[in-house]
Amino acid sequence: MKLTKSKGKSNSSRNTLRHALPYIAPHIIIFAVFSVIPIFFGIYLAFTRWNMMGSPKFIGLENFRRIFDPSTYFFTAFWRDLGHTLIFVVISVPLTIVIPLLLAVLLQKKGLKGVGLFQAIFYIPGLISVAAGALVWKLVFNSQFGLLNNTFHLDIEWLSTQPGAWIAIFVLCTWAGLGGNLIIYRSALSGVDQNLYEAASVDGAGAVRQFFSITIPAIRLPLFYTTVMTTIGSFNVWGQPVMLTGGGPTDSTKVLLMDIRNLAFNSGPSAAGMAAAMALLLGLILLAISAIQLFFMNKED
Amino acid sequence: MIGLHLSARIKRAAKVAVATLATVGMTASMAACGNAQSEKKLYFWNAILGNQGNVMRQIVEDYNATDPEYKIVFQPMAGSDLLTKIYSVEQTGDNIPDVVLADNLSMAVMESQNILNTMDDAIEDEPSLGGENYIDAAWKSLQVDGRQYGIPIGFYGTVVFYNKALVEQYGFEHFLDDDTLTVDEVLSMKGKLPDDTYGIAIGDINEASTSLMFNAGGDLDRDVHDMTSQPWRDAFGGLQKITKAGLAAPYDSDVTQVFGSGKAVFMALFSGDAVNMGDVMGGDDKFGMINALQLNADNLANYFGMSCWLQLKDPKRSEERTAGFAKFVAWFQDHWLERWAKIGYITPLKSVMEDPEYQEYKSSFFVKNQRELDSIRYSSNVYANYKAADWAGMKDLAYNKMSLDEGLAKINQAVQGQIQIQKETEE
Repeated sequence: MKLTKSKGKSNSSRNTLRHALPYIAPHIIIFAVFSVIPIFFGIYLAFTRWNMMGSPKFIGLENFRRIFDPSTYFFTAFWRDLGHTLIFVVISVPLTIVIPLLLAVLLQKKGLKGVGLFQAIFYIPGLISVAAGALVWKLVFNSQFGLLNNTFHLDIEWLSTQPGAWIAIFVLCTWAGLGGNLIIYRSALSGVDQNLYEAASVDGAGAVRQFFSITIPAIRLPLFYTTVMTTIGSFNVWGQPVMLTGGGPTDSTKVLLMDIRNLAFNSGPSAAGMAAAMALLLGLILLAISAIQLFFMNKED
Repeated sequence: MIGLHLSARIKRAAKVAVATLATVGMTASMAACGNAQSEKKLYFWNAILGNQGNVMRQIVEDYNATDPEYKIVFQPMAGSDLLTKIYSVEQTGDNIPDVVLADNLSMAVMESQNILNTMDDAIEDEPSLGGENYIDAAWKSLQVDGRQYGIPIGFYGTVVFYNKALVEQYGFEHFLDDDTLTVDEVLSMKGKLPDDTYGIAIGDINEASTSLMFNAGGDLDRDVHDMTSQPWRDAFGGLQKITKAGLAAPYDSDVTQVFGSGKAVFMALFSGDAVNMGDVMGGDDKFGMINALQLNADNLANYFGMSCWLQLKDPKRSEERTAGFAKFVAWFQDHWLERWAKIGYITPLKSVMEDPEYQEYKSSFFVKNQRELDSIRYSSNVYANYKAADWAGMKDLAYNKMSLDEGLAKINQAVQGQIQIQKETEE
């Protein structure tokens, strides 16, 4: 009897798979062709010399040895620009989490007029391409003709000195990135039971206490999700510093993806193997950070 | 029950239909790829977009209207994609384009990877494409080891523009006597300009510094292997003096905006920008163009790139298709003056150079006499473009954000690092 039941179960799951396959096959094929195969090929390339023509030449750990050898350019570039990438992540992730969260809470206020309009205003920058947004902000931060210097009678070379260059990048990223997270938080907040706030008010809890004791716990899953996704996105930052500062001044805003791209798709012959090695190391760092974040997320859950 | 069966049959039939359609579609598209060689079409890959792309598209349409045996299919793409796609099709051996428009440095890279045909067959088909019809520097800029891998389309480079009204207003006309602005002349402007007006706005430090390096006795083929060499020191030393004296527009300037708004007397920018500069300045008579910034006017050096026609290797390509390629390039060459001159390129053709009609174009300045022709510098070295491996570092160095020793050492480390990797790849 037990055997029959198990056989029946196995038949039914085979049936389910047969019916599901036509629906998931296109995605699996696209995922394999555009994600899985490139990932494995990229990992293999990290152990080769390849200029995109002919067959990659296997060289073992040589690329990694160079990245860890302080006398090479690749050591200088990788560790310096990984440091800049981390600076970007550490500052931009909280900004693109906290500001949209506070705005979402503000827009949730009862009786507030023009909520839809403000939500649209905050969301629209996310729809604009990085290049177009950066051009606009470049004009705003321009030391001679810029809106900022002229309005406030300042004489700051924002894009060619620090901390001006980082400030400009963070402003652009926050401006462009807050809309997406705002929508997620607004959606999550709309599901929070309003009775909890009323009960807390009766008990004498203020707005801050309500925020930390009701709002945050109630939306912790979307909060974790946006943190993980924003962190991954921030590690892959490229367009904003390229467009605003070109990595300057003195490479202080140069991020790792700029090196990886320059090595792989330079105007000269490609150093795709070295680029892949740097990308693999960045990928491993990202994997570790995402795993830590997911561990805490599951623990909380 | 019957209804259920019917519904299941319809579903199954729909699945079969979708699968059949998909299969037919894929087969048809693959067949289309497979038939590319037998079609009477030549596929033309290029990275010319915007206005230049529109002009080239029109040229292709006009050529096709002459009813040639092989029509041209215009296929523009982003610059960064062109080489990558070329590598892809050369690896697979399928869908290799028949006509490619690129530049001399990309030519050198492709030649080093053994994926280019020489132009010998094309020249045999169309003798008008022979070297005797081209300016010597144009022709030689597309040679590697004496073999011709490209047909010239036009020179371009970073040259100096000047605001005629400001030059006159501040009495700098004598700078233009030898058609050359030197670093010392820029430095002599100190104290003669209002606080908000700059001597020069430098738009492309990478290209401007390369002309200066050649002017200081350097040679890119040699000096790319040592970015700390004396010619590079002289080049960046000169730029540092200008920026230190406050005579260059600020680091974060939009140089065209600074120049267009009358806040800079001179500007170093891409020669092709002459085409739009009339709109910026309020008329073509408001500005002029002279040679690239120099350290010493006696050893005039203009570092130019060369746009060119290339043919990729393709074992499946017939002789007729190569003849079709040559015919199109020859037609383009015959119509260069009436169609391509307006884009702002400097002509590589002797016939156009001598044509009075061409003298109306500002780009004619750079081929107007033997002195100018002798000033043209170029490189067809596979590693030449690595000079810009630390492009941002060049700007930092020119703007005194680093000392000369520190900056050149840093740039050199980046350039030599990439060259070393490449040499190891080739071994």
